[in-house]
Formats: sequence, structure tokens, C-alpha cells
Amino acid sequence: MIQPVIEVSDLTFDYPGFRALDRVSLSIAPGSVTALVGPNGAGKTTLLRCIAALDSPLSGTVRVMGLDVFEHPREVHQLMGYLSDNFGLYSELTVAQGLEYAARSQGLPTASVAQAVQHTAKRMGLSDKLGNLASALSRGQRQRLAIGQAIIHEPKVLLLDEPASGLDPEARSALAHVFKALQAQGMSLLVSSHILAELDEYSTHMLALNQGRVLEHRALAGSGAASGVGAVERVLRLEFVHGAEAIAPWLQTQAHVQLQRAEGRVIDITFSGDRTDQAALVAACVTAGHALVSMASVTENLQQSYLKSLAAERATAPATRMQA
Amino acid sequence: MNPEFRRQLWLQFSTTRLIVLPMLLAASFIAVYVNVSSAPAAPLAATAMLLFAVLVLGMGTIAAGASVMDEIADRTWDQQRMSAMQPWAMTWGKLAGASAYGWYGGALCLLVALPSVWVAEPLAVVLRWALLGCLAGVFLQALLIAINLQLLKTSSRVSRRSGMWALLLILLWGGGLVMESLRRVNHIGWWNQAFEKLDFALASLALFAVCALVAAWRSMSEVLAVRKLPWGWPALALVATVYISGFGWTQRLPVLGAVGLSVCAVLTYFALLTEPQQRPLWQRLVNAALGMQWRTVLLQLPRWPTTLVLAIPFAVMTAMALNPNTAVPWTLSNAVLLQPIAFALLLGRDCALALFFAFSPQTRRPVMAFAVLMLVLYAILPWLMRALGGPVLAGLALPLLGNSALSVVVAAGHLGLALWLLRWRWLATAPRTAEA
Repeated sequence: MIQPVIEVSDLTFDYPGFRALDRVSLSIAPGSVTALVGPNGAGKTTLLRCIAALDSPLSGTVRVMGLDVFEHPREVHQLMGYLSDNFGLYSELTVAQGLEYAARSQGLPTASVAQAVQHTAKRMGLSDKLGNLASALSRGQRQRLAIGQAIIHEPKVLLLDEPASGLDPEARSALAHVFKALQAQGMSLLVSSHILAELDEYSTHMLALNQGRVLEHRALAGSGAASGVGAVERVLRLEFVHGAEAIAPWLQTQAHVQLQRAEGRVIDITFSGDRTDQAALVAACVTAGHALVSMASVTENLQQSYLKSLAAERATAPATRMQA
Repeated sequence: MNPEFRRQLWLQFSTTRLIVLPMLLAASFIAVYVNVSSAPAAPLAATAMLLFAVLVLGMGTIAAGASVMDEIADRTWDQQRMSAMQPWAMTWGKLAGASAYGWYGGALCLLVALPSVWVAEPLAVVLRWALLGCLAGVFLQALLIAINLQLLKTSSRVSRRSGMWALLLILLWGGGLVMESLRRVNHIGWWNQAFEKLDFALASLALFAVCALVAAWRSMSEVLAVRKLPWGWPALALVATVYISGFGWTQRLPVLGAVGLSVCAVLTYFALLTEPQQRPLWQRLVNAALGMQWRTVLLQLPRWPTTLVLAIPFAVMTAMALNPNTAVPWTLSNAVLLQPIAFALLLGRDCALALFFAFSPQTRRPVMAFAVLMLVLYAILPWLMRALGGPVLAGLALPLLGNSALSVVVAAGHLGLALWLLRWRWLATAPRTAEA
């Protein structure tokens, strides 16, 4: 069994007169990008700060790579990067000095600091800014420097609280590429954001919080987590040359297929087979003489999923709030 | 090299700053030298020591304090807290790094001051004065870091100057006492031993500097979430008690007890009012205690209960050691000596009342509410009662004023009432689940 990078168990956190987190339990898989979503006051920032050992909870445990964060905060910090939503930079230091300080304070050996600074600057697109003061950087560059400082020690886990807030579309897109690259290198990311369309681009999982409780935590359909590994259920959209209604009954008899919707020339199915099974389905369509134009995974829209979860939760549990 | 020390050096030193300071100092010394017709050594030494004080005790201390508060202003505190640096490395990195420029100037001043003083004084005395100045610098800088870290625990929105004001108050009060006691004598009597004034000042300052360094390190540990067992605060109380009691008069044991009780009271009130005391913190402690996680309880325990508990043996010691035939006139300061048990009980009552306000979600300024209540309990109410019914009623309001045995009973009643109020508040503010 793969060990989760983050394990949260029965985490409860109170502010005076207000319960911010209520018995939250979850585990984050290695190599995943988890979108942490929820309305204002849902407990997103508090959860991130507890995982980062910046705030102490009322009860519960948080383990990162098997280490209890409240018992060994400094050791955990070597495995973790964290970018606060309200981050600051040492404005009187240059980009190179800021990165060097971050590297050294995270315990990197002296011999590897210079290389880490160069590598991180390149990764963040700041190689030509190394001599500039942090105060002279643009908003997007400051954001990238802050993320660079958080990842310079190659953490296993990266926590980001509203990383794209205040950025223009171009800078957001660049940031999405950075996150994808970090995930590709095996880093696990937990990203809190209000801009769900932006999270759609790179998230593999959704963790929805509401009123301090976990509303939903699952792999997103169409994400690498949902379609890339083994026989994970996912939604496929098949487009045919002719009317889909006639093909639907035949399709329903095929292995791993559950019909969802047939409309015009398009059929949506839930498919529970692996990639070989999917190839076999394509071959079966062709052999049966059904003129298949395309078959594609339907990527789940994070915003719709989140709103659906929220609406369902509000309908079923209107008053599950802890009151002081 | 310590990363924090290196960062502070980056901030403190530039080529310009490195050159400008020696030039300014040289200009000052030359100005003194050319303006004195004969025997320039003494005015040069005085000027150098004054500039040393400005640079090390003034500039260096402000810079050391700012090394903590600037992290809040620049919103970089989370980055520091997320680093892998241990508390002691962070403490000395800030202390030595932030004040390095002041020390650089101070060292240049000493280069002028020491030879100038040496003209008139033996080398040993000169070196001791230099060491005194350096220890004073370390003491003030470490103390301001400790004060600022303590303020940060209460609120992240404290003003950068709050710590400076607190330090100035401590210096004015403590410095005045020390100067007054040193001014009149050549030798200091301490625990029946006579010490030369300068030697005693040196040893005292070294002790204070060590205490300030430990305080800064312990406070840094707390804000970096590296919990330690709570020995620091009671240890400080014991050190202060032993130090102050050394100046005491003939009845050693009651003096030791009364001083210990007073020191514990001061430290308890200080910690009580400068540490966060919200209900969730105490709920966490109660949860740990109910789960028999005693080490967790000790690691998360606020400072004030340690000195409150330590106050009890001191109170008992005072009560048992004071000769009943000793004629001690009643004054407010002697109340600790005359009514130690009642005093300790009232200390416990005040702690319960402070928590009573701190646990209320509606009280916006619990410290202020507590201060007002203390004014009522210790001044207004006894005064009113005395006017209405004489000393007996006044003794009910403030048991320190009354007869010995009865005072203890009344003080215990006060404590019981305060604990009942606290229990009521605790239950009233317990989070409730309203499941649909």
C-alpha cells in the first residue's frame, strides 16, 4: 500500500467562539495535486496552517511522510514548502540572496546551495533577475520568487494558499505550468484557491471543505489520478457519424460500460475498464460497424462538481454547525 | 554560517556603511582632540564610551528588537517559522546579526576608549569596564528580543515600539534601583559576603545577560512551535529570588520566602497578562489531561501556572519562618510578609478571574477588564467598605488588611468564588454540536 504524504486524523481547531475545523480526516496521495476548495470561512487556510505546524489544533493529529508535525515541526519543514496567502519577501535582499537564505534556512548543505539557487531561478523563470532586489519585481515575479523560496529544498509536499490571487491571466497560466512541472517531478501539491477554473488545469483531486468539515475528497474524473492508473471509473464521450440512440442499446451490452446519456450523435458512458479495455471497446465499435468518430475522456469541471457538492450538502445538512 | 546571521549581515553591512561609520567616528574623535588644549585622554575616553553606548546599547538594541518585529511588518514571519532552523540558531542569528553594525562601531569606540582610560586606570579595571559595557549590550539586546517575542505571542499586530517602551520602563525602574544601591557604597554585601562594587556589577550583569539569552531562546522556541518542558519560568523565579534575597536583612528564611512569593507573584501576573489565554488553548490542555498525556500537558502549559504553584511553598515558608513576636508594621509592601498564605490565595483568585475574562467571547479587551476589576478589588472596594463598616468589612473585601487566621479563610472564600465563576464560564462557552 502506498503511504500517503499527508495524513490528517480527527483534526479539530477552535478559534474563540468558533470551530474552524471539525474532526477533519483525510489523506493526500503522493504525486497528486489536490484542489482545496470551499467558501470563505470553510477552514481552508486553517487546515493548511495546521498541516504546516503553524497553528496548533484543539485535537487530532497531522502526519507528513509519517512524521507528526506537532512533535517534529522543524523536521517536517524540511519535507514541506508552504506559501501563505499573505506572504512577504525580504525586499532589501536580491532574488539570489532571498533564494540562498531560503536554501540555507531549510538545511541544504553549503555545497549544494549555489546549484539550488540557479536551478530554482531557472525553474521559476527568474534567472535574469537574480541580481534584482525583491522590491523591484513585478507581482507575478514576486509570486514566483516566493514559490521558489518554498520549493528550493525540493520538498515532498507543497502547500499553497491562494497562490494565483492578484495575478494577471498570463502569470496565472505560467504558474499552472510550474505546478504541473512540480507534480511531474513527484511533488504532492495541496492548493487552496477561489479561482476554480485555474485549479481545473492541473488538479488531480478535489478536497471540498464547508463549515470546517470535509464535504468531498476524491479523484477528479479525467485527471491523471482517475484515468491513468488501472481500472478507475471515468466518463467517456463517444461521437458517432449516425444517430446515437440506435447504438446505445448495443453499447450498454459491452463490458465495463454504463450508459449515462445518449443525445444526437453523442453518447456519454461511465467506463470502469483500464486502457486495454478501452482499446478493445474502440475495436468492438469498428467491428460492429458503428461509425465511431472519436472517444475522449470527459474532464470534470471542478466548479460544477464543487457547486453540486455544496448544494447537496446544504440540502441534506442545513444545521450541522458547531456553535459556541 | 548561521543563515539568519548571514542574512542580517547582508542587511546591515554595505561597502558604504562600512566606510562611513569609521569616518564619522574618526571625525568625532579628532574634533574632541583638537578642542582640548591639554590632557585629551579623559575627554576622548568619555566621548568614546558615550558613542559606544549610543551604538551598542542604543542602535544595536533597537536593531535586535527590529529583527523580530520587522518579520511581522514585512509578512515574512511565516517563512521563518517554516524554516528548519532550530530556536537557538534563530535566536543568536538575530541577536548577533542585527546588532553587528552597532558592535562594529562599538569596537572602534573601544579601540579609542581603552588606551585613553588606561592612562589613568590600571589595565584590569579598564578591561572590566569594557566587559561591563559589552555585557550590558548583550543583556539589553537579548531582553528586547525576548520582550518582542512575548508581545508577538499575544498579538501579531503589536506596534514595533511596544517592546522598546517596555524595555525603557524596566530599565528606568531596575536601573534606578541598582544605581541608587551602588552609589552610596564601595562594597556590596550579598549573602554575608562583601564584594567590590565593580566586580559585583560585572557578575550581576553577566547573570542578567544569561537570563535574557535564555528568555529569548525559550520565547523563540515557543513562537517556532518547538515546545519545551516548562522549567524556564520557575527557574527564572528561583534565580531572581536567590539574587534579591542576598541583599536581605537578618531573618533570612522569612525574607527568602517573602521575596520568592513576591517574585512569583510578579512573574505570574506578567505571564498571565502577556500570554494568550483563550479557551481553545485551555481546552487543548484539558483534553490532554483527560487523556492522561501528562507530557503534552507540560509541553503546552502556559508559563503562569508554574510560578503560581511555586508561590505556594514560598508562602508556607514565610508563614512558618516568621517569628510571631517580630514587630513588623503593616504596610502594603509588608503584607506579603505578614499574610503570605492569604496573599498566595488571592494570587490564585486573580488568575481565575483573568481566565474568566479571557474565556468570554464577548470581552474584547480581557486584560483591560481584569485591570479594572483589580482596581476595584484592591482599592475602591476596601476603601468603600472601610468607610461603611470599618476595618472588619474592609478585611472582608481585601483579606490582606485583616486578622491573620480569618484573612486566610476570607481569601480562600474569594478563591472559591472565583473558581466557581471560572467553572461557570467554562461550561457556558463550551462548543456545542447542533446536529440537524
